[in-house]
Formats: sequence, C-alpha cells, structure tokens
Amino acid sequence: MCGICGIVTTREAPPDLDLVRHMLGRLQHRGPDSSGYYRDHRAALGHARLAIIDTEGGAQPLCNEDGNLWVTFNGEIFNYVELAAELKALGHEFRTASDTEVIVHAWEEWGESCFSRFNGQWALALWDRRQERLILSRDRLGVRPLYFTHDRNRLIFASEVKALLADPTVPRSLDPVGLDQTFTYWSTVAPRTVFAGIEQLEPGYFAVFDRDGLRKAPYWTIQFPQRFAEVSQDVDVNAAGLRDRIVEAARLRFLRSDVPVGAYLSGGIDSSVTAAVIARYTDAPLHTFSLRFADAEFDEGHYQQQMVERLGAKHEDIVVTATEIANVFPEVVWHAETPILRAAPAPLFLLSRLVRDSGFKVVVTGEGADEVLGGYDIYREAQVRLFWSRDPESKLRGRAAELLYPWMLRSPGRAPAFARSFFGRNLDPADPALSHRPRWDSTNALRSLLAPGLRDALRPDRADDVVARMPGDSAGWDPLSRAQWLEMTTLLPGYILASQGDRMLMANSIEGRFPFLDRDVVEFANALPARHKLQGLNEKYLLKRAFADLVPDEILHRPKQPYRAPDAASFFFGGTTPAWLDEVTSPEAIRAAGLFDPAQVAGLFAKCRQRGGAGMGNTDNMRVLAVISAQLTHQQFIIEGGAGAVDRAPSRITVAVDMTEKPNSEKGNYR
Amino acid sequence: MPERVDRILAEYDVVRDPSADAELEALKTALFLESAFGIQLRDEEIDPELLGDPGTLRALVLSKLGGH
Repeated sequence: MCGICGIVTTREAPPDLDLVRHMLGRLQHRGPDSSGYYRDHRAALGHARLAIIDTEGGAQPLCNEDGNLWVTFNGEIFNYVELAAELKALGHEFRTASDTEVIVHAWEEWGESCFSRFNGQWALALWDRRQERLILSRDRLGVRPLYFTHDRNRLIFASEVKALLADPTVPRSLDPVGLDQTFTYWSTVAPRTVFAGIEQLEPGYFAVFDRDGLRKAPYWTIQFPQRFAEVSQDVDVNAAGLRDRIVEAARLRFLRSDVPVGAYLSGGIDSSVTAAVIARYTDAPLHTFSLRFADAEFDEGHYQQQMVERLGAKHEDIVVTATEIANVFPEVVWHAETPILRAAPAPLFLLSRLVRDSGFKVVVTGEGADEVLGGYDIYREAQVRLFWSRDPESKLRGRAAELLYPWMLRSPGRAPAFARSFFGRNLDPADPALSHRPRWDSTNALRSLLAPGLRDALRPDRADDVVARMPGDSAGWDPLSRAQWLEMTTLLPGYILASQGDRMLMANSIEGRFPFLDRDVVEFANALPARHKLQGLNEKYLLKRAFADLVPDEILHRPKQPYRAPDAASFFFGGTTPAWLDEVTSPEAIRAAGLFDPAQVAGLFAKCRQRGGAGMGNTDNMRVLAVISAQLTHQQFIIEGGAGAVDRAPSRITVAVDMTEKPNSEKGNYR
Repeated sequence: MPERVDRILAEYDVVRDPSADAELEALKTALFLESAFGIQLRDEEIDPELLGDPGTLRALVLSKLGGH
C-alpha cells in the first residue's frame, strides 16, 4: 500500500516540484519505506511507498519500455502474475517483478479496458507524455482512495485530502451538501466529499484529463440479476462455487506478498472464515490479531479465543478502554478526514498500531462479507418491513418484528408500539430505498443540531440523490439486491472501507486485504438467488453452509454482533472530558465553525456530563460524535490546512526523474 | 415449476427450528415463502399446522403460483 499524488497543468510553467515533495510528506504514513517523483513540463507524479511486492525493484513512479508512459500506483493487482504472462506473450518487456509494471503494459495493450481485467484494490494515475493525458482509475468498490481538484488548466490529485491542501491555492471550506450526506448516509457519496471543490473518483470509474478537460466513465458497475431469473438455483452447487472463489481470493491475498501477512480475527464468522481458509489452504504460518474491549458489552474475546484454539495460530490482542479511544480520537479524525458518527474507527486505529509494532505490514480481514453476502441487520429489518407492508392491517404480521428482536417476546406490552414506530414509518412498498429509509431518517435527526444558517441551506430531498442513481433495471431486482446496491454505494466505500478501513490501517502504514471484495467473489455473489444470501431471516446462509467444516458451530450460529465501541461514554467517562475536547467544542469554537447551534450543543453535552456518557440513546450518541468529529475536521483542515501536528518530510527518495532540465529532452534517468 | 418449488422447500426444511414458538415459526416460514416465491399469504394461511406440514405447504405454494 502506498500514497500517490500529482499535478497536471496546461500552463506555461511546469508543475512545482517543491509542492510535490510537500504533498509526499503529508502522505508519509502511507509510504514510510521510500518515495519518488517524476516531472516533465506538463505533469508531476509523486509516490510514497510501503514496499510489499518486489521490495527491491518496484520503486515508483515507474515507466514503460520507452519512458513515455508513467504510473504512480497505490494498491495491489492480485492477478498480476497471470496478466504479466499474457503481456509478455504479446511482446511486452518487463524490467521488474512488480504488479505496478503490469499496469503500464496493460494500458498500452488494452487501453481503458485494462481496468476490467484487474482483480485488485487500487487507486492509480497514468501519465501519457506523448498524448499529454492523465488517466486516473479506482478499484471497483472503493477500497483505495483517490481525491482531486481541478479547473480547466490544472488538476491536482492525491490519496488523501491533506496532501491536496498542501497546495495553498486549493480552497478550504466545508461543503454543506457533503455534510448533509454525512449526516444522512454516514458518509458522503462519491464524487462528493465534505470539502467544497474537492472530489473523489467514484469506485469502478476511470477519468481522463487533458487539454479537452476532464471526462469520467465507469468500467464496472454493481449489477444484480432480475428476481427469480438467477442462473444457478442449486444450493450445493452455489455453496461449492462460493467456497472455491473465497479460497482462491484468500490465497491470492495471503501468498502474493514478499513480506509476511497477518490476519484480523474479530470473533465473527467472516474473519474466522478468511483465517481458517489461510490455515487450511496455505503452508504459511498464521499470525492473528484481535481487538478486545475493557467494556464487556462490546467484547468478543470468548469467540476470538475459540477460533485461535481451532487455528493454532500465533495470536496477539489489544484491550481498548474508553480513555484510550478519547486520547487518540483527534488523530483518528485527522486520518479519516471527515466527520464520523461512531467512535468505532478509533479502536481499529489502535489495532493497526499493534500490527505495525509486531513487525507486519499487511493484514487480511473479513471486511465486505456483510455487504456482499447479506449479513447486515438492515437487510433482515427490510425483509420484515416488506412482509408487514404487504398487509399492514394483518393481526399476525406485526409480530414478525419479534423474529428480529427476541426482547419483544419478554416485553409484549412494548412490542406493538415499537414495531409500529420503527417498521411502520415511511413504509412504502414501492420505495426503492425501503431498506435504508429508517437508518437515513434516524441519522438525519442530526439536522436539528445544525446552525440555522447551515440548516436553511440544505435541500430537504437530498436522500433521493443516491436513489435516483439506482440502475434503470433495479426495479426488477430482488429487494435484497436493491438494499445491497445502496449499501455498496454508500456505507461500504464511504465509511466501512474508508473511515474504518484504509484510513485506520494506513495511519500505521498497514495494508488491508479483503478476500470478500475480490472481483470474482463479488460477481459470483451478486448473481446468486437472494434466498441463498438471506434465507428468510437467516443471514449469510450460503457462507455458513460453505464453510461449516472450518468454523466452530458456536461462531457459525452465534447471534450477529455488529462491531461497536463505546461512543459518548468514551468522551464523558466519569463526567469529565479531555482538554482537547473542551477546546474544540467550546461555545467560541462552535460559533467560529458555524456548523452547529451552540445552545443545542451545550444542552447535549450537559446531559452527557451528567450521565458520564452512559445510557445515551442511539441518536444522542450519534449527535455527540457528529459534533466532536465535525469540529475536529473544521479545526484540523479548514483552520490548520491539514498539516497535522508536524508537517513531515517525504520518506527517503529513491526515484527522482526531472525531465524539465532540458526542454524536450529525455535527460532524466528513468531506467 | 414443481421442481423449483421442491428444491426451494427442501433448502428451507433444513433450517426449520422445531423447538421454536409455533406461531413465530409459522411467521418465519411465511416470510420466507413470500420472499422466495414472490407470493402473498392471507392471515388464515399463516398457520402453524398448514405451514408445518410438508405436503400442505407444497400444495399451498403451488396453488399460489398457479401450478395446480
């Protein structure tokens, strides 16, 4: 994993190399092993390297045979061995054993269709000197980040926004629509970010920037079959097919590395499957890492230990306290670069630090299984809502909520009122976003905290932005498929893979690899009948069936426990708050940022102090996190410009190619 | 059509929970049937005896699908 950046200009003067070095310094945590740059009269590319494949020969930026096509690349192309063999057979000459070099030859050979041949996780930029054309590309589901800002004559891109803000000409202000999306969907939806004028390339897209401006197009889209027309209906055939693909995806991610690879173990089925597959199907020693909580409500140590014993793995864990979450939270937001509505990224930041301190650079995790294979409660809740919506007057159907929430059986007096308030709200069977409407509505309660000026500037119908983008044929999909599309378009790239994924891993220079997000796994899973993913209310049915022999029954059939961390309780523990929090949420700071109503924030925080942050409802927990993280985002990026505690120098420079020293020459040493 | 119905009902039979509350199990079965076949059951059809017996269950689904 690495950090990338660059500048393309059509103006007279070449791109500023000092700015590229400054940008690389801000990406140093993504690439601590070395760095490099390339510059000519029109473009500069920068690269901060975390060396994982071809650690000796794979330094970047890297070029093709004649030096006219350059690439800076963050990520992995896991099928690079097969692609390199194909390209060599077509006459391409390779100088390294890296996956990076495959990209330049693949672009030469296949043009924009090369991206659909890649099975991996990437954000990359190709610079074609002859055509004076920049090509940007991002992986299918948004594992790797890629931001840019541009006008007619200049485009500047980077893995993280803080590197773009190293350029003092880039405007810095928060985007009201981006904030509104975050306070609805939990994150912005690409191409939008929370920063005005700064875009992110959509997952599954490539973009071209040249004298004609910027053009974007998808090379892949999230697709599902029409309901009841799925090709394979046999559950045993499908279970075997899924197993084959997950095994291959995990093997590729574990073995295609020149440095040791570890594995996360959460105690749930997903990471248990990936770790068990590695133990069963590779000869490599397995080293696992787990996150535990001092608060028993959030801890999954019992299940983690069961899996460790089954695997015989070398295992390390970290027990996280509320105080530790509060202490690292400003750093967490600096890496996440966005308001976050949960404290859950903070423990993951601490876990990746443990991985780094243990000498690892890469971990395989179970991320993506819930989205791809039907694991989330939101899918089960949608099934119940749909079931109820078919006959809201039914005396029986309302009880279906008890299938989800066993506590209703024990509290029959409360059950009907709860069911009506939760399942009956905005219940329109024809709504393509029926599955997500309750979440979006409850999250949008955050609007009541906003400063009047900001609240008035927001459109009331913003949620339909994403609904309007659903594919034309999605009306014929199974309702589960529509819910999956929404989840894979909003929360997965915007929060799970970003704020909880790439950013918390790369904060400590750790690369995450996700077998469940493998191209072949996703395409296979999307083609399955919905009932093989969510069978009635039994989530991830096919995954459990496919790996029943590798995962203990107690883990296979345990009630799903969503990953959570103490939220408000982390910051108001014992009724006291950290000094940084008092400063960033003081009435003066709240007024200066202009995001929230100071009186409302004061009331909310007084309630938290009184309770020590404990016993707060879901909405209040979100409100607290929204205020703290948005205020930190404002302070760190709008006031301080993303510099962080100390602007770092780039890592050791090993590639330095400057073609501007003699016009139109190829004086630089690019071999 | 009967083959498809038999295949899907056989898949479901494996995950039934005979120890569960009978009324809730009937609801769970009804929810599965409506989702898997795109049919709709009336309240009187969401009945533990009707949905708990493989023969009557199969006949109900086929009749809803217009097969028999």
